[in-house]
Amino acid sequence: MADWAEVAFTSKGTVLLSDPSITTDAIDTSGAVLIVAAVGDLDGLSVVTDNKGNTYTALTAHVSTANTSPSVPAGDTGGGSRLHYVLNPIVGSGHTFTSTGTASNIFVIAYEGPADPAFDRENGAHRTVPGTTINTGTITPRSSPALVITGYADRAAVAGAGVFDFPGVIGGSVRHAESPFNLHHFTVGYGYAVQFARASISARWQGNALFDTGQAAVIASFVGGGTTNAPIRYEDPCSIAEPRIFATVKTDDEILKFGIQPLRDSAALGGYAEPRLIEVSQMTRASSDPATGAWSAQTASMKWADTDRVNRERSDDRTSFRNCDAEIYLTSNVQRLAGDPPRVLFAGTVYEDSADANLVLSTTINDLIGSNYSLFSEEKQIPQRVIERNWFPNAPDEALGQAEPIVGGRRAVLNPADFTTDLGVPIEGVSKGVYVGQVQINGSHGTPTGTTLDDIVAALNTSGAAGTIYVDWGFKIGYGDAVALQSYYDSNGTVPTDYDGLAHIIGFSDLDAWLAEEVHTGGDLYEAVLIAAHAISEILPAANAEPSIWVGDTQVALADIGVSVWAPQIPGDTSWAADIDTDLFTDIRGANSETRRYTLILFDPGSTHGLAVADGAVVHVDCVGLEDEGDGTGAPLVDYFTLYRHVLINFILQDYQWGAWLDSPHFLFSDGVTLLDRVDADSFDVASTVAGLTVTGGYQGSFTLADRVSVRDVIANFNMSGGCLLAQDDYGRLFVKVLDVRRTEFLRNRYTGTVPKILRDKVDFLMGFSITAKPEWQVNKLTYQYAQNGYSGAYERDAGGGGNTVFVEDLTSQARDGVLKKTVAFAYLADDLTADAVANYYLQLFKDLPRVAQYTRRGLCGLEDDLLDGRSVTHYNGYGANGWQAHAVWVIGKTFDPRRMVSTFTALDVEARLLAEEVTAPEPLTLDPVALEDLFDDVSGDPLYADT
Amino acid sequence: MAETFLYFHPADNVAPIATASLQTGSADTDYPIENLTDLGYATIAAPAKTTGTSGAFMLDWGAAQRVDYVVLWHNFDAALAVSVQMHAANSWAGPTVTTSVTIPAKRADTHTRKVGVDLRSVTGYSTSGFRYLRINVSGTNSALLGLKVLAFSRVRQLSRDFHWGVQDDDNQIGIDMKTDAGVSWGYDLMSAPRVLRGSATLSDADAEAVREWHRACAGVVKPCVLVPEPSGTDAWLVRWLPGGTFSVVGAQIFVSKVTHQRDFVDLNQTQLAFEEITAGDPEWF
Repeated sequence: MADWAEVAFTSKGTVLLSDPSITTDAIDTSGAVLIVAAVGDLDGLSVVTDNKGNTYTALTAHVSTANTSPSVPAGDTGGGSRLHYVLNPIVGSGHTFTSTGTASNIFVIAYEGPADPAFDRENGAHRTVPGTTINTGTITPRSSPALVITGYADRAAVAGAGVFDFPGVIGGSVRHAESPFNLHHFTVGYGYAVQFARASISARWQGNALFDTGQAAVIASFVGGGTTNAPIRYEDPCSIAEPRIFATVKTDDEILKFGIQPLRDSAALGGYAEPRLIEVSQMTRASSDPATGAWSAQTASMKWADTDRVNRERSDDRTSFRNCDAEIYLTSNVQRLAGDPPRVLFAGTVYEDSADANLVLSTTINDLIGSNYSLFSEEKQIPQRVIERNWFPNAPDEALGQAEPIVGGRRAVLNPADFTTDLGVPIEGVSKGVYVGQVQINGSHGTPTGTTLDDIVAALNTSGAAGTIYVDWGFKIGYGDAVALQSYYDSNGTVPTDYDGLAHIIGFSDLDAWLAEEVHTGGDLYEAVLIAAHAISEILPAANAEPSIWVGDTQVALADIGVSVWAPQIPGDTSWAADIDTDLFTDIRGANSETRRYTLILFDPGSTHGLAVADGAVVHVDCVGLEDEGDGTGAPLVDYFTLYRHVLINFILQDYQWGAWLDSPHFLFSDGVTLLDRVDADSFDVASTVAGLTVTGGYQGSFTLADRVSVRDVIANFNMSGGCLLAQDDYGRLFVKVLDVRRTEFLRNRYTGTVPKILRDKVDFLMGFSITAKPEWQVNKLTYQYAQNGYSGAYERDAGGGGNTVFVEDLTSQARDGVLKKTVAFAYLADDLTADAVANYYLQLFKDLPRVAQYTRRGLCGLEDDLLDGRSVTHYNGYGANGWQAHAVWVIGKTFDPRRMVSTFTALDVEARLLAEEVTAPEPLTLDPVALEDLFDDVSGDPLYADT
Repeated sequence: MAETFLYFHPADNVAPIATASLQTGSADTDYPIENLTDLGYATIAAPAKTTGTSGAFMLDWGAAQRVDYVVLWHNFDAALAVSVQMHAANSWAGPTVTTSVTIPAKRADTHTRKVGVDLRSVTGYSTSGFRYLRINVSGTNSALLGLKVLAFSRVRQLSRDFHWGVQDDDNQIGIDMKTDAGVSWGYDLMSAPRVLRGSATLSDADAEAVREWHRACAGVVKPCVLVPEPSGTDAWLVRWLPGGTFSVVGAQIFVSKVTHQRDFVDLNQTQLAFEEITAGDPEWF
């Protein structure tokens, strides 16, 4: 791919504030594929034109609302910054550019670069109070090389220097930073860099270092590859003639790279691959189960020649390669010689490695979720965080080990009358809290305990004599180590009394942490109930319009709020900020100095509610859970797929503790530099959009993850409740997809945006096409339950009744095939519309005998199809008199055989589902309802329904 | 009778005991100069590379070292100006031994041909040897230089060559598939090892020498060099081929054999077979 490079540059600044426009001197833009103008002006409203007739697209303007210029009227704006661009412009010599607006200053740079340039990402920031520096905010270009451009404007009392940098820029360099215009106290700037490896990037600008100014700054990226959404630009697999397979394993301090052949790659491609790869297994990736949502662990394996035993040594040094990131790649000689990246065939982590006979080392890689699966030990449990005395030293025994709840979406009863006391009094509050004992609020954090080695030895010996090291200290030193230490005590009559001896048993890090323990002293004591292991968005009102906070069956009276009960996020309440904290959450620093963020409800220990809580009364609330900032100030997350993504990134793949929400985890691409997201965040947005075609506003999520369950159950629940499939894509990223029944959209490739050709029998397929029925999936009466009440432990919309119809059915199918029933739980849904839409999705997909096709595409062309792609198949073996003609299938499984260089697919037959929508629901009426009175006769123009 | 083929024991290669350096030019840090002589598993196929298109690679044994034959595994263009030199000091204005090497054209499959250089016939050659060996690339290559060097302290030959009928196989390894409609699709794995098979009538002494050769190579395990036509420069880096004279005991255990059929006193019929190590790829991609 051609690199980005500057072709020509020009700039012009306004002379008078009243100038209506400015025009640059002429430049020769021949060869440019992109022209970008950065305009600094008064209000961000300037328009850019040129004398070649190009049309410029304006990106988002950022305008400071603060200024310190003496010539600017009070309340006037500061500087405005905006980028304008044109792709594949008309170019040539004598090219001039005009900016029309108020106090325009314009920079223009013409670039040569990829033949198919595309705008990629943008961000920006502006000051509302004067300052000296500003950061544009971060963007992560979708691929590399990326042209990253930043613009800046300020309006200051004293003109500034307008200097900037790209903090931490990877693989590129700042190539241009123009001197600012200093007229009328405007300082404007423009700069760019070419980023050769994909990574997040921002620009930091400084105006006059000595004077605060109103500032605005923007940043945008441009990449090659046209409109493709792929994070890395793979080569066309059909063009590969000389394929090469290699694998990488990333240990703690090195990246191992092994090929079937030696690959003498450049450093930019990750360097030399030793020819140790004796065997690579078939690599099967499959979506979550369409009928159950279950995620099957996906595995690939490889065998390395280890004749010189170096990898046995590496493995042994860290006890095994387990949990090392590992990827298997395919490339070609053409791609390598061009310095372009390989294709990920499988990405995950090492699940096991074994030293086999004849000095072969075998390694098994599991996908990111499947790597947590286990037959023997406890699988990763969600929520991962549990209540411990490290953070809640006064927690009652029964609270220890309980999950710290994750609360998402709007959590409230649908109908207060659904849950009542014996006397018929409604009980609300569906999200249950956990009593964690008394906590100290305010006071001094981080006070050293002064614990010494002698203290620790004495405490351990006391427990050792009682045979209770496991019970007393297992939580602190690890239960396995506690058993070993008790055994040592039993043999020696004491635990080791020296540092090294003790650390060798309980671990150096555990002993160090113990010695460094801190306590929280001073402050006020409250009885505390843990509502969420994160900040939440809002405590909702109950039916009586007072905060829906309940102690047992009793609602906390409004009069008690701020007197004996405190909670953050009660709309209109100021007592939390006044009495507890200005933060809308509570950060607790543990004895080990690690901090966790919580939403707590606090009770005066001497109050009626405080005493009840301490006595075991359950506190439960209605609330809106997760929000998008992590500190309680953000917008609430209620969209189902936004919530799914958020939980996946923060609580499943990673373990959020406190602070801002986490970015997607990454893995290091084979070049050793590029970071690839583990989660395709955009796919969740697309899923929301598609869901919005069925339910206005999209699917709504609602859940309290309060009981620890296996990660596989949580994933299955998310897939099931959302009527979506989860898969790992061709870039090693987890992504979701909702069936889009619009044929063209269903078939459109999510990377290229184009609809691929029909796959043809006998031409595109190798022998072996088959169609298999899936009778176990068929259902024509689907009963579903949702709206789980965490306090009552029941579904408000349950299979046995509730306030709505809780089943959907297809009578035609029942008459033909008999009644095929199934009951499912949508554990993470709480509203009728979403639940109904999801239930109907399953019914329509599975009411007639489901079928899956299996076919093998010849050659590497099969790699162009990703999981969950839609494809059209024409095949003589298909059903019907003519077989299958352009028959729609949904790819749910893909196996790549590296020995044969072919891909075998499993695909769900969805033709009937698409056909039904095309016949029964004309798209314009479904998607964009038009009022009858707005319909007019095409010929006469008369209203068609004038009387309605 | 044509001169018999040349062969070498792995231990005859004294290059690994020398200190390798770039006498002129700078090294690619990803393909360091240590690769120049390293035939270990990890880097047998990894060359030493330079950051330029000309330069000089040097071996220093610290004391005089006899070198009879040099093999260059390279990425040099055809007819590139390259010389192999030896000298007692690290000064190259007038090396005692210097010979120009004719770099052959690449094969049609883009594999380079390894070049053997027999120093014994070069003016200035001495069995006492010299401390320094230099491969001087004075021409400009089309690619950054890549090189691996083998330097042998002696040349071995049997008293008789192969019989007529030596079988020289050219192998091209690929993947092929075909749909029911006959649409074919193939992939080139570009692993193109040549195979040499032949028979020889050997004296008892030669038969024992062949046994020793087989033992020195540990059968199929250690690569060695074979020059089928001594008057040429086509040096093969080969392993003994476990074909025709091997048996399988378990999945991956090869028992490599060399069998002499003793027909008469001092008369042995022997089958020899070798497979070239191409490192699986056109060199230096």
